[in-house]
Amino acid sequence: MSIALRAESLVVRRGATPVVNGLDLLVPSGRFFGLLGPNGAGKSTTIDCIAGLAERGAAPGGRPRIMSGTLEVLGLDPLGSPEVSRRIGVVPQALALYGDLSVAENLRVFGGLYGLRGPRLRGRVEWAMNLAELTERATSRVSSLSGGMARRLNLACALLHEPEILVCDEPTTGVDPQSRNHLFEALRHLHREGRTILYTTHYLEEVEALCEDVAIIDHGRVIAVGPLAQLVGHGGRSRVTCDGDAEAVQRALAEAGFTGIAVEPERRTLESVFLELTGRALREEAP
Amino acid sequence: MSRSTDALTALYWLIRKDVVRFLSDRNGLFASVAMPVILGAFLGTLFAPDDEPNPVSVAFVHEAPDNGSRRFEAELRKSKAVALVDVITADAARDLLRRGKQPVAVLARGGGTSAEVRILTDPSRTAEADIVRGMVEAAVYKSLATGFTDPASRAENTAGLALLLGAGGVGEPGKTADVVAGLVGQLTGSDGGLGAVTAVETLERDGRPAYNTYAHNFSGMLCMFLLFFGIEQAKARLDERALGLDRRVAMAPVGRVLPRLASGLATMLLALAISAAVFAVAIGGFGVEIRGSIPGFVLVVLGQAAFAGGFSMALSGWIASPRAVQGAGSAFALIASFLGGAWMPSFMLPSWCQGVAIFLPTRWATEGFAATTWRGLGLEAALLPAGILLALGLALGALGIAGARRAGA
Repeated sequence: MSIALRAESLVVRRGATPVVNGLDLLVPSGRFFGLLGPNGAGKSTTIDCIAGLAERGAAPGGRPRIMSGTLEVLGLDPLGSPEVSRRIGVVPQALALYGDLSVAENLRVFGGLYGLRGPRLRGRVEWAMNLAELTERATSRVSSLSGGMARRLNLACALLHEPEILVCDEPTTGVDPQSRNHLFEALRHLHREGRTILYTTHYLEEVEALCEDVAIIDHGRVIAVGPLAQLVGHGGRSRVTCDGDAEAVQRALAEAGFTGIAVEPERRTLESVFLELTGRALREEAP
Repeated sequence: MSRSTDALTALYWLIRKDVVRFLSDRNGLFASVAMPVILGAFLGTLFAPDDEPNPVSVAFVHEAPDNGSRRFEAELRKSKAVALVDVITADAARDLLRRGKQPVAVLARGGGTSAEVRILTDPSRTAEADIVRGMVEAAVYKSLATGFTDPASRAENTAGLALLLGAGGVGEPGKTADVVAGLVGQLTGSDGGLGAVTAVETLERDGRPAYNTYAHNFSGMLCMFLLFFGIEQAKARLDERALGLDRRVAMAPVGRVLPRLASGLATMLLALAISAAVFAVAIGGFGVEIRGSIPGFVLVVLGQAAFAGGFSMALSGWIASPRAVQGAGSAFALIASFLGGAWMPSFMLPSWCQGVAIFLPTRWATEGFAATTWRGLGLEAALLPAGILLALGLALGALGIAGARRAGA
């Protein structure tokens, strides 16, 4: 089993404030890994370290400082490593896009930063616009896009250089259900292609919908980790799904001698109802 | 492909991004190109040398006039630099000065050996007072000379001089007085001698006046607006930082220095384009000529653009807030423009200001542009200004990179 990401006893500070306090994390390659935690738990700082934005020991200004512990990305130290930068893509929490440039120009700039040029750059930009379903808005200024479109572009910009590991830092902030559904589909597609995805969020349902493995992080420490199914567990109760009226099922079970069983109609999530009513097609109107 | 090719690709896209963003901002484009043109044209017109300069208004009081004081008044009235306003009494003249209605008063009083000329000045109008003083001294000098050259009064003055020489024990005072009077007449007379050398010659090239005020004012306004442009670029960098774009760029395999360098180079390239546009208008529309070394002119333009790039990097590297960048940057730009001679030639400023100005980029830019445009000097005259501008730009750029590292950006 190859390891995409490994952190051992990682301690990170921002200024004088300890943010990550002995983090242990092991992400196997090819997994869809959820990093779940409340605001201020240390998720974004951990991502900064993975993305090579930290420094070791005393560092100037607001950069995170790794005080102790080990951090490896694809077996390499990510700090100041161009090799790691080339092999990971990060979708930042903020919409880090040039608002006064067009969609295509943003993609060209971010592709160019990774050394893409010529036909390869053009091809990757086309691919990214297709992925984000923004081909028809190629020449539109980013400032004229809706929040959902900008989020999709934010994702696409991180994929131009075909990273092996994709790190998503709360990528669905402020998007409508259609765009979120589209982002999920895109991420599942990328995962099926074999990419490792590290997905941080504080939305539990997103982790349940996407991730195979989950680590719950709080106060800069992993407090629970494992495959999603194992983590959620059975809790000594079983769930039976069947079609039909709940009362009729209850009667049938009683007649068959099953007692102590409560049958309730399945409650759909509000999101599923919303998507059924409004459809799954992306909304392209400007804000 | 090699790492260095990748770095060059990244550099190209980082610079191109800034250029496209600047060109897409029409208001910014207008402010950066049109404003120096408008102000350069305005100031060039304002400071253009007049054929008939505006004379300084002088309150003139003439008490107890005699031949000598009348000759003085006549000489003073001939001057085109002053316009006499007759006032009856010295008190009335003082009152005019006190109320700010006149900048200077000249009080002339006849009376032979007790004759005198006094100048009263408004302390806030020292420039006019200096001009009037010069004119008054010239008029006194000429009126005395006239006394020895005018046939009617020469006899009277020579007789007076002979009496004085006789009283002093000089032998043959009449003859000596005649010689002295003749000598004074030759030295100061209107028909020859030093007194006739009054013409002012202005430097010309090819039969035209060498000085073109538009050359000075377009250069000066370009200097100032390139500093303002550097401020805008620095603010744009801070906005990118606030939006998380710096962080995203830093995640790419470009290192820490390359994005800073690209920012400075983009500012420099845009400053070059702005300079080209402004000088194109100055040359095409206002008769500004590059009479000196063209390579020297290009070097000064390059040096100034490099300074704008370094200035922008230093501001965004050391100051964290766009408002603070605007305040500190504008203060520097205005002071540097004023002291450096971007608004008016620096020789008009106090000497200590001229001393301070050697540390300012605007001083070297205006000197370099003056050398290569209207003064028509060679490459050697542009090397020092261009070199200093380039060195200052590089130093500020390095300072900006150090500042950005300190801030962890």
